[in-house]
Amino acid sequence: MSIDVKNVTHVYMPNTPFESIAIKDINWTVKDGEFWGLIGHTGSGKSTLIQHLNGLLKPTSGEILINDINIHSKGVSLKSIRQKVGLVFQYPEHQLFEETIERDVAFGPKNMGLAEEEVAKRVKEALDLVGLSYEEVKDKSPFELSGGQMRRVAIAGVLAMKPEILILDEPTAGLDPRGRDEILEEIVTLKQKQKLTVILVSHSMEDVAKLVDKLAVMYRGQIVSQGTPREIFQDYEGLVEKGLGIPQITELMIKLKERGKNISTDILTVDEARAEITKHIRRKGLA
Amino acid sequence: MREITIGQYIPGDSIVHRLDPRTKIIITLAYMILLFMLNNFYGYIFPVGFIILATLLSGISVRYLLKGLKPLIFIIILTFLLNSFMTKGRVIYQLGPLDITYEGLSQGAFMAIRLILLIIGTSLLTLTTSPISLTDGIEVLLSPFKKIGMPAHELAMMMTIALRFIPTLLEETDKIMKAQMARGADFESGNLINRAKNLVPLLVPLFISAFRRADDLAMAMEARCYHGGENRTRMKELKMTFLDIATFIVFILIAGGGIASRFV
Ligand SMILES: Nc1ncnc2c1ncn2[C@@H]1O[C@H](COP(=O)(O)OP(=O)(O)O)[C@@H](O)[C@H]1O
Ligand SMILES: [Mg+2]
Repeated sequence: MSIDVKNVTHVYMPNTPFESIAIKDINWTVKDGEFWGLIGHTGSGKSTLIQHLNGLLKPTSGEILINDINIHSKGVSLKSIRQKVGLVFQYPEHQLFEETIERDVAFGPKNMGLAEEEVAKRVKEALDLVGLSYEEVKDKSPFELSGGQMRRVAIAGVLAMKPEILILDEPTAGLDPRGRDEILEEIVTLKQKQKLTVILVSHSMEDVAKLVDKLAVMYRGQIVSQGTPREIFQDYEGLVEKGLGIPQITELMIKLKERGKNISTDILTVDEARAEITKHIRRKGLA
Repeated sequence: MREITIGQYIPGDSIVHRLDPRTKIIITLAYMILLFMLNNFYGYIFPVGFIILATLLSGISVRYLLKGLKPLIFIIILTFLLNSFMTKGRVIYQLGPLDITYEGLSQGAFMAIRLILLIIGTSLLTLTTSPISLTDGIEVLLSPFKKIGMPAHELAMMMTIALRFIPTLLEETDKIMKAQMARGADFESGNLINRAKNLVPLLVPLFISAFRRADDLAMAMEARCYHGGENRTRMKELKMTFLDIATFIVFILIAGGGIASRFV
């Protein structure tokens, strides 16, 4: 399943004194199986953009194509689009409402009109996928859980609909470093296990750069650059200007190079950096 | 959701914005009373003229002001129809068991005009007065009643908080609604009972978040030693200026004209 965003502009509250252009002239293609990071400063329009991908917002101008079909054309059921394009909102735990976790996760599949047994099966699968034990938590109230666990339940609520594309809006917001790493790790596993197409929205390069295959950088309502993380990081100054920066380890390598060390700056993880620096030291030792 | 404009404030620096909130509140009240004192169509020239003048001076776009009527159009039409059918008098037209009378039509038109002018007038007040100065004004105007036990400061504080949280709650409603729609919830179709049922996934999270916010706010106020109105002073004292006096004079002349029209 692929998504094409074509010349999409969105204006909030048009024709009022509060009119504001949240995104303008966005062009973006997400192909089947890709792992995208959508990065930008707060207010750059990330959430607005992704709410277009499942038809929650309608473009003021431009179009959204899913498998080459405009989702706002006649005869397209937005409900089925929303099932295929699963969207996990920021702070998704704020939308929990049922008395038990089982029933909350079942909300999505039930709305799809699935049979009881199928719903039950999916709930179990979805909870397993996010690393919660179905037997242990099913009868608990979602409000008894810790913040990180509540967030997992909410993510399971979307996974239970078996989407083909999973979009997560700042899934690590407000979590401690450990909770953050756990959630990110689970997203990676999930992507591999379920062969999902994933879009990870974040304002932190540090979090996403090492996970995703491709990055789209948003700035003031526009996508200003897209490509692989390595390509994007070549423009270090540009990113800093946009309030984004790059992973600390990449920055370290760039600083070392600036001081005249002959090393590659094409580095995303600590392991890569260690290898590169060791190589450099060896080379010098021999000389 | 965010299209609702009642209670909205549009920052600005017009003459109307600069008036003392007390002036605006008193005049709005007097204007409302005037609307219900008028008894013939000629009289309405005065409040209509007044509202046009005030709108022009405020710099608020007429289209935006009229948009505020939209959510209430149903009530206005209903009032008009009820009055047209329910008033006894000279029958103009018979619609089944219902009689449309001449008196009814004019009564209905009166009520509709009154309602429209009432809504525009009060919107103009809130559009040009920030919630803070509005409640400041109310507090000062109510303070003489403290002697008979009216908690003026507490009332004003409650209003300030309520007004402050209207946009936040609307935003929250919008967000939760979208999140549930992403899970296939449907808030638009179905019969009345089903629709009410479908609101549960919206209302439960909304209440939880409202209580959480209330808790946080109470804590934050306590942390800053808030303990009611006693001995509190203001950073900005309200002050009447020449502008306020001139406004009162203009309004009194207009209201006088209106009242005089009763005897025409
Ligand atoms: N529902 C809304 N109504 C009006 N303006 C909005 C709404 N949602 C977002 N905005 C505005 O649109 C811009 C982009 O916001 P958003 O898409 O939430 O950015 P991000 O997710 O990158 O922080 C911001 O200026 C924000 O104030
Ligand atoms: Mg956002």
